[in-house]
Amino acid sequence: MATPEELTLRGLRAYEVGRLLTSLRVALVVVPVAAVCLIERTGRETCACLAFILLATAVWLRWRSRRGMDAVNTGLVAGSLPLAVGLLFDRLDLRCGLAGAASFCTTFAVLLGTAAGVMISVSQSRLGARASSVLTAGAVAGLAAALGCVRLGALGVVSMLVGIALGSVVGAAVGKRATERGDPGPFDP
Amino acid sequence: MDAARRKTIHDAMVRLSDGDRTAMAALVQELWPVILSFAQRGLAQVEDAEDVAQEVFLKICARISDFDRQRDGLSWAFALASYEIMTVRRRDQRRRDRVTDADPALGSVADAAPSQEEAVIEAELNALVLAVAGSLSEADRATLGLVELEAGGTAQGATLRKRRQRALDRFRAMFRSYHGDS
Repeated sequence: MATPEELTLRGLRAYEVGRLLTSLRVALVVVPVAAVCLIERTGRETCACLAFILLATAVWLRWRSRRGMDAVNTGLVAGSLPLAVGLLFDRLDLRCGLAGAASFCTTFAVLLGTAAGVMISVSQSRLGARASSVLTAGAVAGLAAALGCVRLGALGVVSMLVGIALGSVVGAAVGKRATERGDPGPFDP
Repeated sequence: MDAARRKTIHDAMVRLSDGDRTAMAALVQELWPVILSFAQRGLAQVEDAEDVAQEVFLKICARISDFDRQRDGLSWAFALASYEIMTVRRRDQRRRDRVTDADPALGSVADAAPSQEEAVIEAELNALVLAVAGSLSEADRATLGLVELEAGGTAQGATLRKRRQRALDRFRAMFRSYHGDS
């Protein structure tokens, strides 16, 4: 019969493999999205690079701990909206800028990013997560959003990221104030 | 099992599922004996029970990142163990069924009477052994245990082994001369 030490070692090995397999499931979401991004002819290198960083970050965070897993899930859900809209804008040949019709794209990117940021704050406050988890989820959402907005121009990506940061901060502040007042809060179920 | 131990196991599982690797030692210490005892109750063979208990423990470790903390950890472990025990039982049953299907006679060895042909062969062999044994000396037959040993003539140790070897050689030679080399 195996000794407790052997059993601990074998258990840890099985645990790490199981955790890695669980964390790799995120590839089922990230890889198809990256494939959609890679269909377009322009900006493939940036797209592949972003997809790789997103996948590696998501797998590592999910493997590390449950908090990381929750943060990645929240970040991917929140980032999916800017990602989808970014890909749609690209199909419509819209580019983000500061003048004319391009400013409409920039404004929309900020608004979408803000919505994603608020979504992250709401989800993470429901999970009772710390500020670091909100930051992690925001980073994952930013990477996902950047994957969609990469062809909208640098301003498009930056607008989306600024929006996510803004939304997260606003959401967290409102949630904190509600908690301090003892109210159920806008984000409580 | 007392509630405190149950809670300790559950807490260790929650910590592991949260990513706290140090909880593994606590899990081995608390959960392993419970799983082993459960498997031993479910399976007759001690070796099978240990194998199943290890299998279950490693499965729990591998799947713990999917563990739902709202559920009781021990109940989840017992559910996995029950499934494994049932799997082993079914596998053993299938193995027995395969043996029976391949040779139906083996399935009813205990209560089946020998066939007519088997009875004839057995009778012939018995007669042959008796005939060969009759050709051997009294001492050889005693050495081979074919007759009761005389009280005073018991050899022991190396002497007995040598005598038995020689008697067996003579028995083989006689048997061949009666029955042939085949």
